[in-house]
Parts: sequence; structure tokens; C-alpha cells
Amino acid sequence: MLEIEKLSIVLPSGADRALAIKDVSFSVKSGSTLCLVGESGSGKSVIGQAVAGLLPQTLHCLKQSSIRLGGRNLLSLDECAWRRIRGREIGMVFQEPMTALNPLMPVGQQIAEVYRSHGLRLRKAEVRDRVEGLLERVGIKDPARISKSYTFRMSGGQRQRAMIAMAVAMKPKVLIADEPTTALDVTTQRQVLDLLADFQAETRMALIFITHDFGIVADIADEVAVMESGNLVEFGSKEDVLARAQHRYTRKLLAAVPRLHEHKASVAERSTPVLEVRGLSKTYGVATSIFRRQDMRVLNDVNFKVCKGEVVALVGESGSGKSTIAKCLTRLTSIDTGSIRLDGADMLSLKGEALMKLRRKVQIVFQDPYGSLNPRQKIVDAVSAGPIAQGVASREARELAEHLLTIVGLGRNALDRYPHEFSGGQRQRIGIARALAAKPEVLIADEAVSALDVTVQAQILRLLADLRDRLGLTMLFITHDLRVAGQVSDRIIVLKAGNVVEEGPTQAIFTKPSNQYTYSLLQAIPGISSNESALVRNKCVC
Amino acid sequence: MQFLGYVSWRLLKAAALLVAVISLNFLLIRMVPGDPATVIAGESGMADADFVARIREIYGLDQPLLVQLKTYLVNTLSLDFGHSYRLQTDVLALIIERLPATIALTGAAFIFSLVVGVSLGVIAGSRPGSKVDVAIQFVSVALYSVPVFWIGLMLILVFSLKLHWLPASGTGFEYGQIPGVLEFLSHLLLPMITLSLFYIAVYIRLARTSVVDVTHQDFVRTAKSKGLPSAFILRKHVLPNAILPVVTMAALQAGHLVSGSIAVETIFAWPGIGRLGYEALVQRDYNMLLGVFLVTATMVVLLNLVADVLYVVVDPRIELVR
Amino acid sequence: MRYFYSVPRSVLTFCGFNWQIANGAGIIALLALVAFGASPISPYGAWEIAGTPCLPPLSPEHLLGTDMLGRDVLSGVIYGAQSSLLVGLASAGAAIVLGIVVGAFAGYYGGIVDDILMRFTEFLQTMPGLALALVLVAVLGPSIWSVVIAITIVSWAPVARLIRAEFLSLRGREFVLAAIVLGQRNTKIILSQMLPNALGPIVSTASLKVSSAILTESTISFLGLGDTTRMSWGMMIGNAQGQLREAWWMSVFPGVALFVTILGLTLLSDGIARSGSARKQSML
Repeated sequence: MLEIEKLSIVLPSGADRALAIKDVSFSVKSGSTLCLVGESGSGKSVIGQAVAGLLPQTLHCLKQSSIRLGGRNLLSLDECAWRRIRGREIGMVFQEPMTALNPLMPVGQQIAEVYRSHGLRLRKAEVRDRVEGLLERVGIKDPARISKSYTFRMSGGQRQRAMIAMAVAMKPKVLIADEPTTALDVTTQRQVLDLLADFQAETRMALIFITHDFGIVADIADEVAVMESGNLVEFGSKEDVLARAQHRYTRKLLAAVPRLHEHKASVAERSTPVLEVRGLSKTYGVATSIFRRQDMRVLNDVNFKVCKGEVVALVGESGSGKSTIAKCLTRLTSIDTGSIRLDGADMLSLKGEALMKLRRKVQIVFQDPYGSLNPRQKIVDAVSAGPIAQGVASREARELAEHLLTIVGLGRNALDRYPHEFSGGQRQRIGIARALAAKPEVLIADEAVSALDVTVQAQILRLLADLRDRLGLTMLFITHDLRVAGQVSDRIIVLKAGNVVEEGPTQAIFTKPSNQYTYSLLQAIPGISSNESALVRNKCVC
Repeated sequence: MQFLGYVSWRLLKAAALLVAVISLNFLLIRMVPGDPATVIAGESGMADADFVARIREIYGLDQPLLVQLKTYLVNTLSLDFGHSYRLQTDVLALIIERLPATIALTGAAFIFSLVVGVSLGVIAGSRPGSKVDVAIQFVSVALYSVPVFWIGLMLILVFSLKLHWLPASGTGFEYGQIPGVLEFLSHLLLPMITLSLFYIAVYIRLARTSVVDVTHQDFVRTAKSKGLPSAFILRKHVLPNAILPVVTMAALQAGHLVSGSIAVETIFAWPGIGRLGYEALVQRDYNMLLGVFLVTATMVVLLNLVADVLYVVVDPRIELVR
Repeated sequence: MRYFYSVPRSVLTFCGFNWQIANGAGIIALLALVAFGASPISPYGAWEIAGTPCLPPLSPEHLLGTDMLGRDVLSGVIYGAQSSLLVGLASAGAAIVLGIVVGAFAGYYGGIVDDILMRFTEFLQTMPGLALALVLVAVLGPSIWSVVIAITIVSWAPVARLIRAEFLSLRGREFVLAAIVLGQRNTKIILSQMLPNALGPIVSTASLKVSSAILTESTISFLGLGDTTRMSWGMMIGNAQGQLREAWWMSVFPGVALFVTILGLTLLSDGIARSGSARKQSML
């Protein structure tokens, strides 16, 4: 029904390539789902924007391109005609529901606007009934209240549901969903995917789902289009693409998807605990008004141990307290009760010089490759900062930095350059080198691969595994992604709302989880439910 | 209840600020070189020994500094701003007499600059890069760079002295009779414009930046994806989000217009407290000067209070979390 | 001290060279040239009675005319540049240094230090600036240094708040956290990790501070409260106010000089802010 032919989109001069999209053709049938897959910069979102007529003014389509919907070439429409198509025939859902909704207008009113702008003359009560009915349809429990609410009072899931309600209000023929679940927790993601599928079954709309996650592809796609730097490199049915990928790049992407159970256990001895956390609790005071403060318990009596040479994964959804644990262990925040022992020494009783000495033994690699390096500091200064703070002479520190940069796969020519000259993956390597330079007993990786594209993610995970084997590194790996945890860890600790709900060897957690929450987390992993046998066969999830 | 709590907390803060202002006043008068008693007396010829002794007693100048501060605070808070020995009148009474003229001038200038500045800013911001935008931005930079007192003189030169269109000074109230509205407005026009120009420049900038920023936000794209007409998007989605911070910012600055009115009132012989303060300054009439300063600062504090409370009322996002 | 050198260079690289910066810098360079070379350039002394009083512009030997005492207006304008530049640079410099120190302390240490310092800056910002400056000058006596001190006192608070805000956001940035975990010392973290990254907005603010200092100085002089021993534009305009009808040139030309100077600084600041990538910078 929707046919894209020879779509080429020109980037402004000075961009890293001339065309954002090069000669892309494909079509989507009514009632079917096309997954548009690619890494960042592949142009997958640009196609979505082009189909919805929302291209930024700096981009424009080449003449021979056409996007046909029901026989009409959308690219030849003027703004006025486009306006009648958007929202009525083509709906769009965006990635970030928080910013995609107007913060100063109640949600119901934002939905009602759709009816009004497409010429439906309805009375006030009718509009209200329709809006509330629609909100109920997308699974919002208290539609009358939510309809009058502002977005800041809603949860991420509710916002995305409202967003979807807005997009499907006019029952469009095509729905474009641009990474609609990336900002959501896995369990919410699962619900949103189900909701979309449900709608599709009801209205027979064509769904173009833009994603980077092959798990989702395995779950929902009928057809798959793989994009690589503006080119459509592979197009076919889901079964064909997942099982018999033709193009080298598709195979590379598939190979990079984290596999459950492909883990080889570390060889190091596992008897001496390096890090012992006992009864760790933390509450944040959250001001609910000027006078009232409510205590929010983010950690509740957390206990765990990490042994020498072991990789332990801390897994949880947002708000589970996993990052707070990282902050406590690095002493970036205070704790209320409990003890943290490193090599038997109590970390919390230390102050001043002794704290400085001990804190260097716990190092951390952060999530954001762009925020974790000082933009105005040369790489050599960043990596040698730890040793220099420990009193190593600057010449020696430079040599050490050079050595470590080689270990993490960067050359010595990286030394005198600035962070902006490096890609995300390279920066993450630099971050790892910087942490290693301090000769840590324990390395904490706080969502260290979450912001990276799958292929880069796979490389960094390989590097970490390699480092563990070569250097006997002890690691605490914090992640929201069970698949990643499964790939790197010996043991998994599952956190929920500040409590440890389950702990055990990785293999055991995946095969026979004892806790209901862990089970639901596992079920929510995209790609798992559609291919239950993957669990048994110890193979790729997709 | 929460709202009342916020308001009372904000009132407390305003009160604390006022006490701080009074203390600063006290400090300032101590900083004047020489004997504070003679300084307060106004260094005038009539500062004979008896008189100075009386001042010393009133202000407790022989007491320790903290006691003096307390006396000063109590006096000021009970609205005893002292006596102007130069003008032979009660300070507060004279200030109250002059206050309406200043409020009329600054209030008119505030509204005028806000309306003109925000409108121009929105016009420029809604079509960034266009000729209109460039022209408005140029006007803004120019207005921003013009010294207020000089442009006032230039306006007088052109519109009063050369063209004889508008009066150059006063309010029209001078000769005891009540002037007509038109008469008053014709007197108000030049000083109001003079005082407004700088703020027009500031509001153009703020509004333009704000509109451009909001236009690039995701929810505007969402509105577009729903098929809303662009004029509607501008009116319903962009403007509320863009103007709210500008108006808040403007309200917070409103008090500073009073300070800016010193030069304007002086040039246009506008009988407000700005000119009163200026005269006190020139004649070293410290009681009067500090009285004017205190009233000005109080106005700023009160306006900030109003702006803060209004902001909470207007913006649903404020959850009263500090 | 290497990090300090890296600042100007990075400023140049991200500036590009747009017309605003070019014009602004050109005007400021001209101003500096005139101020430093006042005595060789100026046809007469600043206070010298050089001809018949009240000569209109384009008179022979007096390009911009003379004032009511017969002093050359052009010479006055040239010498006036000195006061403006001196007061502008001195008080803006002092305000920025003070603001950076206070803001950095408050932003890095947070807690009670932050509370006290920020209540204080809030208080200063509540004060009507020009009025406070005038009172301070009146109290301190009419000298150029009391003008500088007064302007510094009324203008450092916004700088402190700006730097504090930068520091607060930097404080949570991952590279700063990494430095803390690595065991770097507080002073080192402030100087090498945070300050270089906080200075971006300061550069355009600096130019704005100079311009507002020059404006305030001229207003003080215009009202006759400044240093009367130094020739300044504000004073020239103030003195000529009474002769506006008969001798417009006495107040027009110093005003034009003032306007062009402020315009140059505004353009400079604007250009820097604009080229300083996506950073939004209002003119306040």
C-alpha cells in the first residue's frame, strides 16, 4: 500500500556524506509490519520522517524519488495537502514520550486536537467521550483523570500510550513508530509492543517500526529492511533475513546481538571475596512541597559479595537502585546504614588520605561515551590522571597510559588528541583505559555499553571479557539488559525497587529463575517469547 | 494548602531580604567618612552642637554598633525613615508624595516594553533567518547599545526642541490644576519611550531565542505529525511554552526599571522618587537618599514576590519543589 | 598551568570568524588605539581652552566644534575613551574574577557554603543595581576607583551565579565523577576538569560586562557624581545638557562615541555567544 521508490535524500553540504538516503525502494502492505533496522546514522529515522513529511528543512528529496500512498505521490504534495494526510492517513510515534508531548497542555486536549484539525465537528461531550474511550483503549486505567493531566504527572509508559492514542486517533493507514520503546523499561516495552500489534490487527494499518533491536524484529516483524549508511542493504521476510541473511553487514549485525548462554565461565579462583556489601540501605529525601519531605528508599538492605576474578552483573529496571549501588561503592554518595568492605577493609570509616588511597581501588566506567571524557583534556592527561594522583612521575604515567591504550585497542597516536576526535566506541575504550590505569581491585561498568550500537557494543563486551582473562579483573557489571548480563557475567543479581530479589549463577537464572519478577523480566526480553526454544537450544535469541 | 505554604514561605523570604536591605543601608551610612551624626544632619550649616547631640541620641550613636543597628531596624520597620534636614520635611511623607509619578512612569514603560519587545521577538523568532528577523535583531542590538540618558536627550532635541511635538519636561500636573488625560499622556510619552528602549531590546532577544528554542522541541514536531495547521501550532503549542519564561523573567526584572528611572526622571524633570533620590545624592541628604533607596529596594522585593507567586499559579509544572 | 593556555585557543577555534566578531573586535581595537594614543592623536588637550566657545562642528581647526568654555569637543571625545576603557576593563575584570571564585566555590562544594553564598548573591541581585552603584559612589567619594569598586560590587553576582550553574551541572558530569573516583584533589579537579569547561559562557559575558560597566560609568558621570578630574563621555553630555537647544553637538558626539563603543562590545559578545555552538546566551 505504501510504496517507496528510488528515495534519495540530500544532506546539507559539509555533512559526512552527500546523501542521507541513497536510492531506497521498498513497500509495505496493509496490515503488515515492516521493521527498519540499522545503527545510528544509518538513515532509518530519516526515512520515517520523509514518509510523514516531517523532514527538517535542511534536507530535501531528489527529483526521481517517490513515496506513494494509495496511488498518490506524497512528495509532490504541497504543505496544505500534507496537513490533511498527517494524523489522518499517516500517524507517527516518537522515541522520547516526555519531550514529544506539550508540557503545558493537558493530554486529553492534545488528543482532541487531532479530531478538530481533521474537520470532525463534534460537541464538547462527544470529544471528551472519544478521547477517554481512546485512552482506555490504549490501556490507561483512569482515562478521565489522565485526560486532564499534564505529562509531567504521568509515567513513561502512560506518556507513550497517550502518544500512540494520538497517532491512531484517526485510524491511519500507516503508522510510523520511531524507536517507540527505546526509552522504556523491558516490561513496559513488551506491553507497548503488544498494544501496537493489537491495534494493527483491529485496523489493518501498515506499521513501519524503526528499531536497532533484532529482538524486537524477531517478535513483531513481517518484513525486515536493513539500512547501512543510507543504503538499503537487505530486504526480505523476517524468516529469510534472520535465518539466511545475504548481506555481510546484516550478518555482522546479527552476530553482534548478545546471545544468552554463550558465556564461558572465567578461570580465576572464586573463593576470596574482594568486595563485600552488607545491609546497604539508602534513602533520598525528596521534597514534595516546601515543608514536606518524603523519604524515598532507593536501597533496602542490600547484601552481596564479589569474589576475585569474578564478573557479577547487577540487573534491574530504572528505579531499581542499581546505579545508586555504583555511586555508593565509589563513595560518590553517602549511605545510611550498612557496610562496604574492600579486601576486608571497611570503606565507609575511612576519611581523607586513607579514603583517597582506597577509593582508587574501585574504578568505574560510565554509560555516556560523550560525557565521560573531559572535552578540553588530552587523552594522555585523562588516562594518566589516576597514576599521577597516586604520585607516579608524569613520564612514567605517560608510558603507562600508552601501554593501556594499546591494551584497549587504540594506538599510541591517540595520546595527544582530544576526545572529539574519537567515536563513541573508542571513547568507551579510553574510559576503560583510564579506569585501569588506577590499578583497580574492582572495576564497575555502569551501563557501559548501553549507549552504543550493537556492533560496537559487541566489540566492547569482547574487550571486557578479554581483559578479565588477561588481567584477572574483578568486575561488577551494571545493566538493564539481561541479554548483555547473560553474555558477560558469571553471576547475576536481580534488583527490584532497591531490593535484591534473586541471585545466582548466570546459567541458573536463565534456565530456572525462582523469582516471579525475574521470570517476567526474562519473558519481556524481545525475541524470547517468539522463539521459546532458543532458551533450550542455547542459541541466539533471534 | 500547599500553595498557602509556598506563599507564606516566600513572604518570609521577602521579609528577610528587607531586613538585609535595611542593614545594608545602615552599613552604607557608616561607610561615609566622618562623624555619622554630622553626616545624617546633612553637613549643613545648621548642624550646631545641640542639633548633632540630638541626632546622636535619636540614633543612639554613642551605643555599641549592634545596638545601633537594632535601633535603626526598629525605626525603619516602624516606618520612621527620619527627617530630611535639607528639605525640612519628613522623608517618608515626601517619598509617598512622589511615588505615584514613578509608578506611572515605570509601569507604563514596563507594559509598553513588554508588549513591543515580546511581539517583535515572536515575529522574529517565528521566521528565523528571514529579512524581518534580521532587521528586528539589528534593532534589538542597536537599542541595547544606546545609553538611556543620551537617547532621552536626543528625543528631547528632536521631538521637543526641533519639531515641538511633545513637551520636554514635567507631568503636566505642575501648576496645581489637573491636566487632561491627553495632556498627561503627551508628557508621559517621551520619558516612557526612553525608559523602554533598553528593555524592548532585552525582551526582543529573550522572546526570539525562546520561540526559536521551543520551535525545535519534539512536541512541535508531534503537533505537526498530527496534521495541525502551522499557525495553530504557533499559537497553541509554541507561544504558551515560549512566552511563559519570558514574562517571568520580565516580571523579575520589573523592579530594576525603577533604578533605571533615575536618569530618565532627571532628564525629563519627572517628579518621581528617582529624581528625588538624585537630588538627595547631589545635596548629600543621606536620610532622604537612603529612604529612596530603601523604598526602591522594597519595590523590587515585592515585585519579585509577586512574580514568583504568579509563576507558580501560571505554570502547572511547578510542583512547589525548591 | 597548561590548562589556562588552552582556553584562548579553543575560543578561537570555535569562534569561526563571523561578521559580528569582526566588526565588534574592530570597534574595540579602534577604541583601544584612541585611548592609548590619546595625546599624540588628539588635536588639543582634554581641558585646554582651544578656541572660541560654542563653535559648531566643521569649524576650521575644530572638526566637532567647541563647548561652552571653548574646549575642543573632538579632543574631549578622544580623552574620554580613556576613562571608559579603564573603568570598563577594571571593573569588569574584577567582577569576573570575583564571580568565578565565588561561583566555583559554591558550585563545587554545594551544601551550606553554596546556600550562604547564593543567598548573598540573590540579595545583591535584588538590589536595584544603578541605584546601589550611585549610593556607593556617593558614600565612597567621587574618584575613578570608587566608581570601579561600585560597579564591581553591583555586577559580580550574575557572573557568580552563571559559574555556579555551570559548576553544578559539571559536578554531575561523568568525567568529573571519574576524576573524583581516581582520587584527584579538589583544587586540581576545579582547575583542570571544571574551570576550562565552565569558561565558554564567561567569554561572551565578559564582553557584556565591559559594556555594561562603561554604560554605568557614563551614567554616573552624566549625573555629575563621577570623577570630575578625568574627561569622560558621560560628563561631557551631562555638562552640555543645558545647551541642548543652542549647541546640540556638545552632547551628540560623545553620545555617538559611547553608542558605537557599546555596540562594538555587544556585537562581540553576541558573535562569540552565537559561534559558541548551541549554547544559549541571553544578553543579561
